[in-house]
Amino acid sequence: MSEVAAAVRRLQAGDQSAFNILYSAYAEIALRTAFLITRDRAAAEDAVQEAFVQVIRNVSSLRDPGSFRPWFYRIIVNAARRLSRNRHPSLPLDLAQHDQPDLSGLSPEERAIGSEEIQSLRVALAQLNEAHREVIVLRYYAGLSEDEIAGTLGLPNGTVKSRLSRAKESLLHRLGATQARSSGRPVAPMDCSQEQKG
Amino acid sequence: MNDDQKIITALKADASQVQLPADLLARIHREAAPPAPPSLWSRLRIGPKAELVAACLLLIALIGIGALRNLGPDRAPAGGGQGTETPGTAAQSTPGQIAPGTGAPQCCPAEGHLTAAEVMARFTAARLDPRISGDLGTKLFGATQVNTIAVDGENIVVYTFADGAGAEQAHRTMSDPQAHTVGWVGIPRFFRMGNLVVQIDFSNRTVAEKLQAALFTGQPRPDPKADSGDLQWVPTVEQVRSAYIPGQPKMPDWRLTPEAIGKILAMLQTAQLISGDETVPPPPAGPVGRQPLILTLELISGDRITIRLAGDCETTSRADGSQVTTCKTAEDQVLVAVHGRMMRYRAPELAQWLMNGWPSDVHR
Repeated sequence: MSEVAAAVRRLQAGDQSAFNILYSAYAEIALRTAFLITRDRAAAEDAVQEAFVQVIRNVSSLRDPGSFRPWFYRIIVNAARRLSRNRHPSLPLDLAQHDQPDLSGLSPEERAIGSEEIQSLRVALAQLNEAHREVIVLRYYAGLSEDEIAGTLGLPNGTVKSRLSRAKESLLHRLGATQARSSGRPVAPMDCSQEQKG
Repeated sequence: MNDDQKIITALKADASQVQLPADLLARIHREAAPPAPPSLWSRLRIGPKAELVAACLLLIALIGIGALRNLGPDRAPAGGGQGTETPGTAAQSTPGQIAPGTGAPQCCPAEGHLTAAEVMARFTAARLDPRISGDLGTKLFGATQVNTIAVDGENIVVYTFADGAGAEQAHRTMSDPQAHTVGWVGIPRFFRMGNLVVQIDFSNRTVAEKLQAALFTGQPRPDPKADSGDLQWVPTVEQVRSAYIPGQPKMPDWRLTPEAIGKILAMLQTAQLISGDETVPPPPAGPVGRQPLILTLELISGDRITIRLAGDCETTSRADGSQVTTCKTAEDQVLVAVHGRMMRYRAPELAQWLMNGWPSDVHR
């Protein structure tokens, strides 16, 4: 049994100290996941706070402690969605003029991509619609498998797979468009109706 | 580096902007144990006049019960445990316990022993169709049992303690005044009821008020017509300065004749308060061309009452995961907004008037 699953069992048995293990394991990545979804720091903090409160209150309803991760992400995503909608999130159109990312935590290879391309990707990510951004973030940042994403979002596996594919396609298209704009190249139009369906 | 790695890198870089706040863990613990309201009655928003009326009614009831016990041919011995329990007599028999066969339970006993099933019965009495879970097995705050009650789309958690002292202690733990702000709408969440602590979390004030009223009285939210506020809820014709339906842009409003105002008020008098959300239906086709059609009554006091057709919405999920919400006009139902509250009524005549009847009762 993993450390997290064991902590879940202890928490279910009433051992409140086990909560700190779960917090240590998930708080930071949950905060950042929520931020990537909401694009709003305050909303992300509130989402994490709300999610952990839900863990305290409802962990007993989790039948399989091993499935804590998708269960927890489901709470995070739901809270992030709701708070984001309630707060009318400010979505910076020009991220370059706002927060500069901290690249110190990245590997040399990652840093080698160049801050310009990362900025372009960040802009493209921010422009994705909510559904696409969620699957991208869960897959590529939170590291959930497609099965886990399906469980988290309550979607069929096939839908997750196709949505991921469309989200990635849309992201890369936007990335190309962003880079083309900055370099003055023409941009091919995209079928936005297809993106809305996903 | 391939596309996937680029995406991961960009996400990492983007996410690196945020750091865990140092106080987040403490906030979580505070939020998990939020405060109780200083005054139940004030939180229920009954108002001082209604409180006075309630106190008088309680007094009359106590006197009446006492008289019946003394006058009845088979009166119970003094301090007997049978018969209707009231908050005022709770300490004399089994404190706070709901006696069987007494109908709707009394409001908010301070002591005594209640069960989650009895709490659920209050929602049943209020026609809210609750569903109760078994014991969840979580012994949070030292509870001997924890149940949830699903009611009206919300979850209520009932913590059962061995005695009132245990509930009181847990309630104090939950009542951290620092934990009352983030993410909620200022609605009290933890109520001590005898040996229970009942947790009710809502994001919607209207739902909260409705369920709180049901929880503490076993009745639906009081009919606003009986609310003795500054304004009698349904005014007289003399109290109405004007009534109108907004016209098309840049066109005068459609004004109701005095006879029509009287007709509308009569329809309001017979309207029946019902549960349901405050959904407005999609615009129906109509000669005004500017819908939804809203009738506004402007009162001499400066208050306004607005009346419109109610709607019902249903959200369904498609195979691809997207959701579609469809709304339609609710048959014979209207939404009435007054004093900042919107309520749903069954009023067939009024609904019909809003649909078809109004053109013959208005003039420019």
